[in-house]
Amino acid sequence: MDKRISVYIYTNNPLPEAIREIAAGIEEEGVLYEVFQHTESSLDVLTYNASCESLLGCGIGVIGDKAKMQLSSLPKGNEISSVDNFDKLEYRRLGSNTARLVKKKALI
Amino acid sequence: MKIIAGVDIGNSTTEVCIGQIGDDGKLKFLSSSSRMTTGTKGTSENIVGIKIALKSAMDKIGRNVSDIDAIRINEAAPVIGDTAMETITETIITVSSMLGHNPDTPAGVGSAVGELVFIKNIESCLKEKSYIVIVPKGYDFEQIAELINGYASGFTISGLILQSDEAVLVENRLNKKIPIIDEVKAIMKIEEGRLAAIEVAQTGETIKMLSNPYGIATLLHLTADETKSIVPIAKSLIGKRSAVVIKTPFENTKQNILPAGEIFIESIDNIQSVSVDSGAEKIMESIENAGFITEIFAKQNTNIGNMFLNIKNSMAVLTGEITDSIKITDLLAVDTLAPVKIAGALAGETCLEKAVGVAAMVKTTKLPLERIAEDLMKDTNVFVKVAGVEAVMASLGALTTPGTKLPLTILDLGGGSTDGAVIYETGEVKSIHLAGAGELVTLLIQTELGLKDRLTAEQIKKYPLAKVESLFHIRLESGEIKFYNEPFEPKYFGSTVLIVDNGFVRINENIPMERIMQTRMDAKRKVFVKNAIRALRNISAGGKLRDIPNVVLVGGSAEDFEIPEMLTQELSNCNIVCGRGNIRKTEGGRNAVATGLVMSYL
Repeated sequence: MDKRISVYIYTNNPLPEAIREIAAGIEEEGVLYEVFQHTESSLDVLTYNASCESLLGCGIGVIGDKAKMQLSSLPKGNEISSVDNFDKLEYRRLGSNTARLVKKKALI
Repeated sequence: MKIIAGVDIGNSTTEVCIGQIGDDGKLKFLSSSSRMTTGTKGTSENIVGIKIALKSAMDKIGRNVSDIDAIRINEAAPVIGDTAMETITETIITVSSMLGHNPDTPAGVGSAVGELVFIKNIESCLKEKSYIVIVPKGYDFEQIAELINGYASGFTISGLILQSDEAVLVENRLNKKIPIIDEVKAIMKIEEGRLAAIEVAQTGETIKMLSNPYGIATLLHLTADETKSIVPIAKSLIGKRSAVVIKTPFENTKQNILPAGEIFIESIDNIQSVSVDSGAEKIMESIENAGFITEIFAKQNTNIGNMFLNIKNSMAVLTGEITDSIKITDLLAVDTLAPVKIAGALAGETCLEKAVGVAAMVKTTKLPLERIAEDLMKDTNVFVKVAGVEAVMASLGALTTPGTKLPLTILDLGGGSTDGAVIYETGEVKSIHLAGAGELVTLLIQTELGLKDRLTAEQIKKYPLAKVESLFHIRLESGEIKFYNEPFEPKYFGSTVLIVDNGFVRINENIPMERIMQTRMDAKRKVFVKNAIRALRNISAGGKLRDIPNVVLVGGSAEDFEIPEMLTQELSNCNIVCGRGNIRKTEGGRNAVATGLVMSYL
């Protein structure tokens, strides 16, 4: 299957509202995303793998209510931003900032 | 052997030069320093800054301030400068009637007309009418799309105004695409029931209908008189990506010409007056044609009048003279545009209004430097003397620049004033002090870019710009790209930054880098190029620029990264060789007066 130019979101048993808000943040900025299910239990590994697989070099990992975002150009564990507890606004902001990174716009 | 310190107290900076005079009478320069001036120049508050600067200079050579044999301070040019901004026009829109802004992600393209209705009242809409639906926060984007899709078959929904940043999310779920404006914070100020027009431009373009009075007239069916009254609204919407205009009762929008101050210029044989709203060029023409100016004054209770009063009061406090006896003898006026909040607008919209930036200067016979000398002597236990007229000392110091000889012309580009002096072989010196220097440049930058913080304007003046394009590289304003080994902090990503000594300073305001750069360069040209020519005309023999063969630039603003080159280029058009000084081959344009003070000890 040809890969699309999109942000990859790797998830393991995620909170549905977290995925919804993150996706909404990305979509509002006009950037494409894809969501995949995984069994990896380390959020750092999950996030890093997502960033490496994405053609945009930008990945998000979501496990439960925790989410991280990083670029493949940075070492594993060096996330650009993260959400540690359920917070709809913060999930939305993480999604927006992911797209803004891709578009080379200042983060909010 | 003696250690001599020269101290130059400036409006913005206090500079020190330390020299050693050997037993053979030869002078050797040891060190120098530069610190912020504490308090207004000429007051006892300066002593704190002087002591810090002296200590800094002596620390560099591993000595104490008590090792100094004599401190020589400048007979400071008895001038105080100040700046003010006077707006000439003001746009007033008295009822919430327009909204135009640049949200990051509007959606839909085109223009539409409809009656405004809040989404909670959508069931009251009538079949035969067209509506623009207002949606405050609290509605989910899927819910909004579902509602709009559901009702769209009954009556026409021609546009949406959202409080949240969700235009794209909603539009992606609508069956019929319509213009949508989002991020409208003050949405509750919108009046339901009124007729409104909405427009969203394509990406990369700006609106065409609502920035045109005839476009608004077409959409809202205005009469000729009503069209005339909405010209300020159309003007305010030029350059926006999206806008809403609401039809409100006739005659509640107007553009005021504010009663601007009037400036009176008194010379030996007459008094002429010029109104501030005639613009800077007219004001400067009047100043230049006035001949020898004895006083410049202004009407009370205008911005200009109040500014004049403030600086006269400051000088009165300094000298112990009465305010009325203090005269303003020079002024520099500069045309500018200031973004001003439109009274009555819905979301903090601004409009560029004509303004005049003014720097004025007061002069007195002598500043009370003797008092400072006495207090400094008590504090340091070192002999202190007020020695040397500033212009003479600056010229002496400038002579240490390689390649210079007498007669020598200097331009001292400071913070509060631009000073010019020519020193002849006979030792005769002719000098002039003009209002308008670094501080006016900062004011112009702050005004034109609409910056809340003066410090940001000051930093924009001093440092070059760059855009952070990735986590590892920046694009400088020159176009050059610079890579770094370590990633930047995420907060800098995608931002415009200033390259300062130890890293970056982020510019928080959303202004394109190119605009900041242009504003900065224009402000420097308007002040320093103008004043350089004024100063040189004044001190040259016969007022002819061609009689001046060469000019050395000294002072804090001569260290600026682009002002000297601007002046070099401009003055080369008059066949004048001009360049930044290099005091003692090491200081660049700084430390001329302090160096001259040490040299004059011999």
